[in-house]
Order: sequence, then structure tokens, then C-alpha cells
Amino acid sequence: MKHLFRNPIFLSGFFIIFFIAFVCVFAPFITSYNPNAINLKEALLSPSSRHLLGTDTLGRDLLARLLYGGRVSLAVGFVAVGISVLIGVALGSIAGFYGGVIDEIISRFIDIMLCFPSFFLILSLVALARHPSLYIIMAIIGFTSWMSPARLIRAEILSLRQRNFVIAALSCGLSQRRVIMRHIIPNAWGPVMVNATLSMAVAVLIESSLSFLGLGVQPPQASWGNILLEAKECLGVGWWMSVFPGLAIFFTVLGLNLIGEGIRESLHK
Amino acid sequence: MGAGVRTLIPILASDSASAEVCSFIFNGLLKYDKDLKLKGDLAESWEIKDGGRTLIFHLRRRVKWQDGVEFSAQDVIFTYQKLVDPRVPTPYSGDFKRISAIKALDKYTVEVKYTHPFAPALASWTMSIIPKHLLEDKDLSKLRFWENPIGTGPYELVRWKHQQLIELRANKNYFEYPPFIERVIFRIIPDSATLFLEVLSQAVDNASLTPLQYVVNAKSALFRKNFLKFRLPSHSFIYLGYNLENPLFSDKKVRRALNFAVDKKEIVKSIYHSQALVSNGPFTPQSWAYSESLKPASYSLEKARRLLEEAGWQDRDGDGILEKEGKKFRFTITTNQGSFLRQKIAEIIQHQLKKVGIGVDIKVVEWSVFIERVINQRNFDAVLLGWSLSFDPDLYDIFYSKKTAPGEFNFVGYNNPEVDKLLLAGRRTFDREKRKAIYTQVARLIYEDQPYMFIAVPYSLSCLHRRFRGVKPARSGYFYNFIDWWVEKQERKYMF
Repeated sequence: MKHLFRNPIFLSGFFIIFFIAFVCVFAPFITSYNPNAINLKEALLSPSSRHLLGTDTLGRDLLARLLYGGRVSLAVGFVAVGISVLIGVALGSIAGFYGGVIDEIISRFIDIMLCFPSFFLILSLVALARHPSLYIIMAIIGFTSWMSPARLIRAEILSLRQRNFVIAALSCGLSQRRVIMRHIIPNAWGPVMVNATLSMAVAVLIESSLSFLGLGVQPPQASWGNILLEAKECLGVGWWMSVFPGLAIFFTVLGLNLIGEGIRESLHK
Repeated sequence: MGAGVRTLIPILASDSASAEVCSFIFNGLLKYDKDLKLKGDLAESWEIKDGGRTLIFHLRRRVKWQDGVEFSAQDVIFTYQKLVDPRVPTPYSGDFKRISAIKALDKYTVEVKYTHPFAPALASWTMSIIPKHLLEDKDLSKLRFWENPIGTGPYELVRWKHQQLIELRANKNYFEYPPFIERVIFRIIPDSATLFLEVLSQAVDNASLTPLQYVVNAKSALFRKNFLKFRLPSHSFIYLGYNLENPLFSDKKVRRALNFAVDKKEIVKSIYHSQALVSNGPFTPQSWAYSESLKPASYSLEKARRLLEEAGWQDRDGDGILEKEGKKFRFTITTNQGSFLRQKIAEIIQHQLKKVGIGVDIKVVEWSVFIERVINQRNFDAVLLGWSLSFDPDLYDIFYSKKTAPGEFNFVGYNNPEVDKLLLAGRRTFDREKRKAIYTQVARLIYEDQPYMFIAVPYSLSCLHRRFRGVKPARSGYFYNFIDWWVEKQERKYMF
């Protein structure tokens, strides 16, 4: 941890994400506009002191929509990755620790899941859910992206299992569960964290892509993806509608990648 | 065009993209001229006898199908047989089922008999005629794609890349005279923003525009230098159809209240950028049955609130949503994916109905799912949709009380015996003035009943490259004289 906060890459990423998360969480204190309040008399206004980032086709304040939409994007990233790490760590450690037939079964299952091109798998699952809600999307992204944490942790555990402190712990008579939970997983945690931050970036992008395709967050709720979808209809009329949500996605993904990169670097020190 | 062409068999073409391409390859017995009057196409002239019970068509002689075989009365009879064949999945059978007998008096004369005088009969014969000699032994229900359609029309098919493009070539033997424009290519570009970029780079010559593109983007110098923009009245209207079996909407007062609570002028102004009219009922100003005297209800929250209260809806627990007998007034508007404007309209309705205490959820569904699961299974509270009407004002299919089976068009379940009676009378009346009076009454009754909330009649907006000469916009659009268009030699872009 000490290394981490001296790492400039991690720090810059951390501040970007901290800033974005902060303004999204405290959105009501930053803008007084309701993100879904329609005001047709103020449709498609360019940025001004009244509407800092301008308004959309229905006269809704873009800043408010970006901030509240950011909550959606970040929440999807967080929860989806949470689900995938949970499943991944559970399956990966079982496979790695017990080995043998269990490992074979789980590993082949991982291989099978990895065969599906993930975005198209997600697309078809979302299409199957007749009324895609935020929670369904979180769950779908989570349940389709647990394979790489699972593989990582399995490989990590395979090597940890041979280490002396694990053998020592086992020979002291500690239960297998306790050894996994207290001695192995904490030591395998690093690469998983790197992977988790990077896949959070991917999850944010997937949610935006789904919403952009009209399959994600449903109107009138805002998300960065569906703001962009609207912006597409106003290409050449309202530059602010595409530039700002684009920048928001860009910086979020950049920040998360920097954090992941920072953690990776400090692990190797 | 926005959607891919599904079939080039004209009697199966129910989507507008297919119908448009078919109209270049095939002819009907009659067609609409520039003023939307019926005129002969494959028929040179026609007679109406027996007070409308008998039609006699005198066909044009020496018309050849594009493969060289001569066109005759047998093709007309064959087309009729296919249209009423229950195995052929055509949406156009309704008008032709009224025919009691059809026969060829000679090679160039067809006699059609109806049991009752049937006013839309003439208009129904604008249906494209298909070749008997090529399709006689084919099962049309299985033959979804006819890869090399042969018609009598001014253009013939060169190639067809599904979901990409269709290329047509001038028919040198066209019975009027060969068109001047040698090739026509239809490209399928579903995304309106991409389409406009293609327009700006002059990769397409004719395209439809969204209201925002028409009003704002088309002001750019680059656009104006190369393109003309057109605004033509359309034959379609946008509406919110209620599921009348849903107890929420069974009370006419409630439906009228909803109509008062939604500000259609605001929708026209902000969503259509004023490129639409407020709808006053099931007819559009383009139709001769349209009546100026019907005025759309004006926006009034007070009237809406009063009607809702009279119907027993009140907000007793103060949560901003009305209740009646413990049930909250909350419903879902379903619309199809891919229509940006409709989604925006749904959001405005949601916003405006909240003011009178009605909660609305919006559900956007992919088109084929929308038709199969939502419309055909009547699995909706309210749907936001549009109708494109034919030129004949017959509304039988949409509002007659018995047309409610899956796949039929009265999916809201509208049932008014008086309207039923008038709709039947309208079909049996030939005199245009009398018919107009009937349909004015129909429109008035329907507007009073509000099975739909009639929202807007959008203009059809499009652009066309300036190098085309001979273009004469009229009431029916500007494609009616396409075979007369030409491009000056020095302006030609494509050589063949």
C-alpha cells in the first residue's frame, strides 16, 4: 500500500476516478437541475452560464444528466466487476486448490465460456431479457466476465499451494477453508485487483455501448451511452451533446486503466 | 432508404421499402397521377357499370414483360387468384375478397364483378400485376425472395445484395418510353446520421431527412450548393393507441382527459421542429376525406383534471399519482426501437401526464418482437405508433369492430356500432361528396371516442441532388414522373 500511493501512475488514475465518483455521488449539491425535467422552451441550448454544458433535445440540463448518468455507469462498473470477481475467485480458488477432476471440470468450463465473443454474448442475453433494467445489465455483465479473474486466481493458487508457508499451515492442522481464505487468497489478491480495475473500465464501456445501441438503460433515465445515442441524432447541431459524455467515458476508462497499471507496477517492485 | 427490402414480390410487400422498389419494376392496372387522381397504367381505360357492381378494364396492347412475353388479361386474373389464395401471406387480400367474379372477356379486356358496390375497388387495382407465365407453378408462400423479378415497369433488376443495395437498370422496351436515367441504386442505410453524412459527401442523391436535419443541418452551404430540400404533406399520422380491454382505458372520459393533458402543439414544435401538423383525427390533410371543420382539442390541464375526477380518479394519499378503488393510475407506453422521434414523444407524454397525476413507464422494443409479442398478442397498455394510409379513405381495416384477430389492424379493440355502420356505408357509396360526409362523421365519432390519442401528421422531408432536371413536385410527391428526369451530360457522375 505504501508503494501504491507513491506511484504517480496510480495516483493520477486514483484522482481522476475519485473526482468523477465524487461529483457523481454529490450531484444534487453540484447542480440544482433535475436530470429528467423536460423544459421544451430551452431545448438544444449551447453551453452557457445557465446551463454549463448546454441542454439536450428535450431541454434537459446536460450537466445534470451527465452526473446522474455517471452514477449509472460507475455503479454498473462496480457491481458487475464485484459479481465477476466473486464468482471468479470462488471458482478459481476451488479449481486451483483441489486440482484433479474438479480443476479439469472448472477449467474446461472456463474455456467454454471464453469461446463466446463476450460482447455478442451480452447482446443476446440482454435481448432475451424482455425489459432490460439496470440490475439485469449489471448481472449479465458480471456473469459473463468472471473467467479471467478465475483463471488468474487459479494460476496464482497453483503456485502458492507449493509454497512452504501453505504447507506449514496445512501441517499445523488448519482447515482447508481457513488456509484458502486466510493464507492463499490474500496473497493472490494483487493480480486480481489489477484485473478488476481493468475490467471495470471494460464494464463501463459495455454499459455505454449497450445504451448507445438502445438496449441498455431505458429512457428517461440517463446514462452516458444513451446521452451519446441522442447526440448522434443531433450531429452537427449540438456538439456539446456528444463531446461531454464522450469525454466523461474517456476519462473514466483512462482513470481506471491508470489505477490498474499503477497497482501492477507496484506489485512488481 | 432506412430499412432493408424484404421481398420483390409486390403482392407480398407490406413494408414501405419493398413497396417502393416494386413500384419501379411493376405496374398496376391504374396509378395515381400528380394530383392523386386515378389514371390508367396497364389499363388504357375502364368502365363502371351496374351502379358500381361491375368494372371493365380495357388493357393496353403490345405490353411486354421484361423477358419478352406479352402481357394479357390472364396475368390480371392470375394476380387476383394469388391475392385471395389463403396460402399466400399477403396483407392486401381484404379489398379483393369483395370480388364475386372475374373473367377475361377477351385477351385485352377484364370484367370484375362485386356483390355490393365497393367504393375502394378502383383504387385497389393500383395493385401491381405479376406475371402468370413465371409464377404459375410456384408456391408464393414459400418463395419469399424472388431473386430475378420480371415486371412490366420502367426498370429491371440488375443485382440485389440483401441489406445493402438494389441496383436497377432502365427497361429499354418500357411501354411508355424508356426512362432517361439509366441506373437506379437503392442503398440501405438504417442510421439517419450516417445517411446525412453520405448526403453531404454526395454519395447519395436522394434521401429522407429528419426534422432537425431539415431545419438546421440543411442550412449549411455545402448542402445548399448541391441539394434541394423538399417538404411534402404525408399520408401518415402518429398516435398513442390504448388497449381498450384494459380497465384503465375503458372509460371514455379518461381517454378524453388524457387527450386534454398532452400538449400536441408543443410536441410538434419541439420534436418535429414545426415540420408536422397537430392531428385532428384519422384523416390527414392530404386526403379528400379530411375535414377542416374538425378541430383538435386544445391543451387544458384543468379540463383534464376535471374529467379524471368525474371518472373517479383522485390522489388520496398525496403521492402525486391518482387512485381509484385502491388502484394507481400507472401504465406503460410501448414503442418500437429505432425511432428516435417516437421515443422522444413518449418521454414528453410521460412528462406531461405526470402533471395530472398519471404515472407512465416507457418500454422500447425491437420491431419484430414488437409486432409479434406486443401488437399481435395485444400485450400492451398503450402503444405509440404511426399509420401510413392509402389514398382511399376507407378505414374499415383499422376501426371496424371485427378486425381484431391477431395480425389484423384494430388491435386496440375499438368497437362503436355507429362507426361500424358508417364504415360499411362508406365502402358502398361512390359519390365523393356523400362519401366525404360519411367519413367526416366517422372522423368526428372516432375523435370523440379517442381510441387513439391523435398526435401529429408529420411532413415527409427529403432532399434531392440538384443535377436532376425535369423534377416537378406536386401533391403526390416528386417521383411520379421519374422516367422524365434527366441529367445534363457534363453533370453526369456515373457512366455505363
